[in-house]
Parts: sequence; C-alpha cells; structure tokens
Amino acid sequence: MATVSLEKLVKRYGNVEIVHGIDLDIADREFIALVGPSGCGKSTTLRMIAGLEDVSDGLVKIGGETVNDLPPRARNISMVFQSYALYPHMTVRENMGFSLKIAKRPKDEIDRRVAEAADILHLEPLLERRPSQLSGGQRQRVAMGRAIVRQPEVFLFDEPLSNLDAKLRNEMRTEIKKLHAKVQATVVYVTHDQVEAMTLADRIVIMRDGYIEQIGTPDQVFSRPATKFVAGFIGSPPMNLADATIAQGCIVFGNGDWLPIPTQYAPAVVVGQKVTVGLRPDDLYPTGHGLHSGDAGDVHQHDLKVAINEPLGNETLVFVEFAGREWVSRMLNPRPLVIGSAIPMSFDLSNAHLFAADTGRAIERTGG
Amino acid sequence: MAADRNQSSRNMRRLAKAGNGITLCLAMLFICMPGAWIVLNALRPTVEIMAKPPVWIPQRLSLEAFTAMFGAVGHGGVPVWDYFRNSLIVSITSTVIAIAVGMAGGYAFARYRFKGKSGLFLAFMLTRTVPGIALSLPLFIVYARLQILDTHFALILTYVALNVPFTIWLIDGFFRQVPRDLAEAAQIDGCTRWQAFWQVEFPLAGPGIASSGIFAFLTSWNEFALASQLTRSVASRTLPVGLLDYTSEFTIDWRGMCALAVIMILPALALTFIIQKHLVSGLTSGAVKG
Amino acid sequence: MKSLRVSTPILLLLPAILILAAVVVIPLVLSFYSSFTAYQLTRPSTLWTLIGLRNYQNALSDPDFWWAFGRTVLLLTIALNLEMLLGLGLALLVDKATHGQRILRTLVMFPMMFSPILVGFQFKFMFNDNVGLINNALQSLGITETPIPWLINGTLAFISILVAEVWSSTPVFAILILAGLLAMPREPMEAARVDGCTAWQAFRYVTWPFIMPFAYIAMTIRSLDVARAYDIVKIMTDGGPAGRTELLWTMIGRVAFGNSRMGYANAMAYVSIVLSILFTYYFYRKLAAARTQIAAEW
Repeated sequence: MATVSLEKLVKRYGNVEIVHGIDLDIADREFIALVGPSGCGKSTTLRMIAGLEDVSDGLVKIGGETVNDLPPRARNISMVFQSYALYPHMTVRENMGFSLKIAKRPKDEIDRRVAEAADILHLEPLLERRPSQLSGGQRQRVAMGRAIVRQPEVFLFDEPLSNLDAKLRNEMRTEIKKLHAKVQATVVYVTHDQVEAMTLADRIVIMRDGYIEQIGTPDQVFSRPATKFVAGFIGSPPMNLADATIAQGCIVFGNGDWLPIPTQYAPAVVVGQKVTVGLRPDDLYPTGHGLHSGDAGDVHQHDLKVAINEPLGNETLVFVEFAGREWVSRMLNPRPLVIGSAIPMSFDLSNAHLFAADTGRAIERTGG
Repeated sequence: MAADRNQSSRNMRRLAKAGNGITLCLAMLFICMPGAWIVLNALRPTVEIMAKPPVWIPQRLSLEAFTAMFGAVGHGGVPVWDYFRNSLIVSITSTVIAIAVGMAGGYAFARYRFKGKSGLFLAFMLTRTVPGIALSLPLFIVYARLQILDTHFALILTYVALNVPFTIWLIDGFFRQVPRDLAEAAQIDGCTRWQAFWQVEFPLAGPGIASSGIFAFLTSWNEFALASQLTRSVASRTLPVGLLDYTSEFTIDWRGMCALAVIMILPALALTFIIQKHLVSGLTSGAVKG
Repeated sequence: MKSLRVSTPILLLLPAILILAAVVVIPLVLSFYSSFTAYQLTRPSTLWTLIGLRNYQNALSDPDFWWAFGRTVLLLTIALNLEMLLGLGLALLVDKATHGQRILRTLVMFPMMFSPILVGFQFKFMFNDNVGLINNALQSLGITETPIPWLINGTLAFISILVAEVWSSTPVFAILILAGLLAMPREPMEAARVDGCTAWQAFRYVTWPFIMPFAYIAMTIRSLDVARAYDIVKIMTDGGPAGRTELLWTMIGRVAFGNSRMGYANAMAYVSIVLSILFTYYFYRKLAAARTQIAAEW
C-alpha cells in the first residue's frame, strides 16, 4: 500500500520557517500535483518526502510507516529531477539499470526490466548512448525510465518538464499521463505550471509561502476556489478580480461601476461588506458571442469600451475597461472589433465568485 | 518497528558525524603540530628544551632567541641580516621579472594560435622536470667561468628561469578566463590593442597574476638546492642555505635554529593566506578546461 | 631590404624562450657533454678530456647508484600513494564539514608553504632522539622506555623522511581533490542516494569518476616536484646514517661537489633525469585521457 501522509510538516533553515506545518493525505495510486509560484515550498516538501532534506518538525509517512530519519534508499521511492541528474559517465542502459545493480539483482533480471522500461518509453535505439549524446527530451525519458525500472511504491517528479520547449512539454505531458495509467503507482508531481497540474493530477495541492491554500480535484479548484489566490492562479487566462463594496441590492466598485449581487450570494452578504469579485473570462463576453451556463436571468449587460484584442483564431480575448481596470473576456465566433468603441458586454453571474476582501477566503454560497 | 528503523538510522548518522569531526580534528592537529612546536620552542629557554623528563607546559616564554640572533652579527653568530637581505633582494627581483616574462608568454598562449604552440608549451613544462640539484651542476661550471658565482645576479637569473614555466601556465589560465569580447569591445570603443590590454584584460586577470607572483616569490624564497651551490659567502647566501649551515654546526642550538626557522616561515605564511583561493582555481582551470 | 616579420605571439614569448634557453637548455647540453668527459672541478683542464661512455658504464655498474635509485623509487612510490589516499580522505572530510570551511582549507595548505628545508628541519627536531617531540611524547605516555633512534637507524630514518615528505605534500592532493569535489554537480549524487547507494557506493560510482582527473593533475604536479626529496633528506640525514638514506640526488650532489667528479656526476644526473621524465610523461598521458573524458561527458 503506497499511501503518503504528511502530518504538520515543518521545514526551517536556521530561524526561517519555510514550510508551516502542512497536512496532506495521498491515497494509494493517486496522482497528486503540488503547484504554486516559485518559493512556495513545493520542492522542499517533495525533497522531505524523498529524504533529501531533513524534517524540522512533523511526520512523513510512506505506506503508513514513519520515515522521517530514513535515508532515501530505504524509502522505496523513485525520483525524476528537474535537470534529469543522469550519470554522465554511464550509458543509457547502465543509467537505467544502476539501482538494480546496486541492489545486486541478477543480470538477466536487470536486462529484462530495463528492456521493459525502454519499451514503454521508446528508448530502445538509445540504450548504448551516453547522456551527452541525447537531446533534452530524450534525457527526460531516460530519467523517467530510470525511475520506473525500480518499480517503487511512490514516484516523485520535481518540475521534470520545465527545461523543455513548449511543444516538447505538451508531448511529454501526454506521455506522463499514459505512463501513470500503465504503471499504476502513487505519484507526487511538483510543478509551477498550473496547466500541467490540471491535466495530469487526480487532485491538486496549491501552495503559497509555505502554506497549503487548497486541496481538490481539478474541477473543484477551478469552479470552487477556496481563496482569491487559488482563483487567480488556476485557469488561463486568469480570473478577473476586482475589489468592491456591498451596497443595497448591488455591488459597487471603487469608480462607481456596479453589478447586481449574484443570486447564490444574496443571503450571505451584508451591506457595507468589503469583497473581491471574481469572474472568469469565459463568463464575460460580448453579447451574443458566449455561452452562458446558468439562468438567462443571471446575465447582466453593460456597454463597455474595448481596450485591446488578442485574436487566437477560434476565439478572441477582448480586453474591456470596467471598474477602473481591464477585464479579460472570451469572444467566441469572433468578428472584428474597433478599438475604443463601446460594445454590449454580458456578465454571466451564475459563476461569479465573491471573496472576503481582507482574508481572501471564498464567501460561502447558498444554494447555487 | 518503524520507530526502531528511524532510531537506528538516526544513531548511525550521529555516529558518522561524530566520527568525521574527530578524524578531522586529529588531522588538523597533525598538520599544525610541527609548525606550532617550532614556534613554541623558539620562545622557550634552552634549558627547558633539553630538560629530562620533558617539560610540557612552558614555564618561561621570551623573545631572547630573536634578540640574540640579530644581535650576534659579527660576533661569530649567524649573519641573519645578510641572509635575510639576500633572500629579499633575490626573491623580489626574480619575481618581478618572472611576472613580466610570464605575462607576455601567458598572454601569447591564451590569445593566439600558432604553429608549434603545444610543442612549445610542453617544452616549457619539461624544463621543470629538471631538478634543481641537477641543474646546479652545469650552472656551477658556467657561472664559474663567467665569474658570476656568489652574486645576486646569478641567483636572480636562475630563479627567473625556474619560475617562468609555472608562471606562464598559471597566467595563461587566468587570461583564458577573461572573455575575448571585452578587448574587442574596447577596441571598438577606440583603444589600440596595447591600450585594450592594459585597460581591460590586465585588470581582470590582475588578482590571478598577483597570485602567480606570490607563488613565484615563495618558490624563490624557499629554494635551496641551487642556492646552496651557487652561493659561496655572506655576499649572496640566502636564508634556506643559512638554516642548513646553522644546523650542521657542532653545538646544536635548537632554540636559535627554531628562531631562524620562524623568521623564514613568517613571510611565507602571510602570503599563503592571500593566495590560497586563487592558487587552486588557477591550477585547476588551466589544467582541466585547458 | 625585406624586414623580418615576426608574429606577435612569438615576440611575446621571446624573453621566456631566451631565458630558458640560456639558463636551462644550454647548461643541460653542457652537462650532457661533460658527462662524456673526465671533468673534475679541481682540475679544470680535464673538461676537454673525452672518455666516451665510460662514465655511464661506471654509473650503471655502480651498486651504490642502483641502491640510491631503488631507494628513490621506493620512497617516491610509497609517498605518492600515501599522499593520494590521505589527500583524498582529507578532501572528503573537509568537504563534509559544515562549519569553517575557509579556515579548514587554509590550515590544510600550511604544510605546502613550508620550504622543504624547513620541513626537514621541523622533523629533524621532532624526531631527534634526545629532545624530539616524538620520543618525549612516547616516553611521557609510557609507551616506550628507551629513546627510539629515529634518525640513527637506517630503516627508521627512511620512515622519518617518508613522514616528512608525506606531511609536506599531502595538501597538494587534498586541495586539488577538494576543488574537484566542490565543482561536482550535486544532482547525480542525489539520484544515487535515491537509487539505493550507500555512502561508499555513491563515492565509488559517482564521486570518484568525476574527481579522477583532479587526482591525476595532482599526481602530475607532484611528479614534477619529485626532486624535493633532495632538500628534506639533505637536512634530516644528509644521506646517512652511513649512506642508508642516500637518494639519487643527494648522491649526485655529493659526487659532484664533494668528490669533485663532475663528469661522472653529470652522467648519473642524466640517467636520473630520464627517470623523472618517464614518471611525468606517464601521468601526463593519464591526465590527458581523463581530461578528454571529462570534457565529453560532464
């Protein structure tokens, strides 16, 4: 059983606390993504699970057993490093078979397992080459091959795709997803790219400044972000966020612009409350050029001035001026727009989000 | 059971760490002891040094040995001032010249490609395989004929030749670390090649060149084999030769010799502090990245 | 008249070439010539008396010469190997230390900075059977009753010189290997720890392949300095007792200046120089091979 548990895990360097007592339970064979901006502590957490960093406080458990002081080799894990960390003086075959050689497995077993891994990752033609003779993508696959040969309980990935170009990254993402389906192991995957997290993970853990902001499935963190930070981090282009105050029957922004209070929030807010309004670009569109999900009654219209256009082919991102800032909207079935002209914009408030302005935490919906 | 595994792992790590620390301390002790012992004994009265059973905690410390040494000039004592003066003159002069020659040669190797380059480099390095004492044989003959034995000039010339290959090797490495584009950029900005060198490349390689200078100085300061044969009298004899003479005398004045040794080591140690960082980087960058 | 165009690099190298030619090459040629003569310092005219290969024949059939040769090779082989092992150990220890790295590195370099004469003197003092630190310590700790004749007994004198030599030159290995350890990329090491290596296995499969060239650089540099053994031996035992620690170079020095038999000494010197060059060449080849390997892979 390859579960991973973190209980009140703390990491300190000298007097500075980097990771502040986080809790996480990962189920057997689950694919968990740790995602967040640089410096949020995700890599440090991963390295504590691996045993490459000492734990300052709290517990790391693998398979139910506390492993805080165990060296990496006793934890039955595999790791794919950001820079691949291949052994430069060994061939691909020797790289992949290295851990088995250390474990003193018989030669035919080593050959068999290396061949299996090479087959899964299409590495057969490269087996006798040295890492210096491989491209970035090939080295990446060798690193993964080295990891799966060991058949460990837990796989750890530390930003494995960040050194690849965009096209290669997309291809490798698909490879990794297929790999997880085939290999069926628990995976802890660290990345700063939320697209990777969304497409690959069963559950996503969003971290910031050493704290966990939210744990949830991709759908949960997308449609029910627990904090303003998560809302702005997940989803591309990012959610529009603006500060406002609740007034009688409507939300008023700093410059006087207003929106009606979304029905799902009506009972939950009081006049004078300071909130942050969040609306995804999908829920804001030039009238007639979008899809609304809720009641037609939840769609509110304003005429807004167009600031910039970003055509993407199948859709155009239209930047409009509202509430003193530029809001991103998605225009389906795009047609040319004149910059500076005012066009009718639809706000689909059934998917709007409200966050407390001071804490950033999502305000509870009712019904909705 | 999990607790046991963690515990034993923890214990192993503590043990390893303690073991490392103890071994390191012992190693440092072994390294520093001889030098420290010499310094200590230069400060103790001879009576204590010869005492049986041996005296471990020094009872009296004084600088007598040093005053006696310097004051005994002309009274049949060791002419320390002369030796010191000779060593200083010879070492500094040969270092300055070696650096000048080394800079020219090192720059040539670092920046230019020419026929026979690697052969010439190898030839330079091979001259260092000739041990000092072997060279002293023919040099003695030559210098005797030219009647320059027992002069500063002879020793300076010899030490320059001794230091040039290594200086070139080091300075070559240091110039390579200065990007070529900088001199070219300076030339575009209006400098002649000569100016570009002095304004841009020389300052950047400066610390490294200083280090190789200090290394050359130390080589000259510590050199014994050649000096012992090429010097005959107080006129040019250097400190290392002086130490041997002192040691060979019939009545062994341990305290006095320790004092002389301390005088020899002080400049060397002081300079070591300064160059240690550069020395290693110079040796490895020149040799590995080549 | 056509002016001679000399390329800039040659011009820059000219002073170096001239000086080395004058001080090293020409005297070596002279030395070579004199090895075929019966030259004696006390009778300068003998410089012109050619005696062919007689000096070499004498040298190669002289048992003293071969004894000195054997002792020299033995001393150097043991010394180099010990220095390599101890230097490696020292470098690994310093690398693992968490505090005061710079102080440690400076301390490790101490012995390198002592003139060989000074090193010889230190150990002559410490090994002295009467007032030496070693004997006094052993007696005070009750390990021995009578003073051990470190510098009087033939075998013990050899060991004393070995200790002095190792003390003085281990830092060269330690510092160079340490530079290698610091330059090593860390991630393959971490991968090795995850892959299941114990500390020893990680060293053998990851660390050692990387620092091998650095070790060879140290070997090459040390073999260039092979003649340092002269200074130390001269001051500690001067080849004694009764010639039991006579190395090649102390012998040659004695024959040349003590016995004034310059021609003969030069012949012996040339044989020894060939030895020295072979030593250096062997390590240089190893170094070049390791360099290409490291450049290709890392």
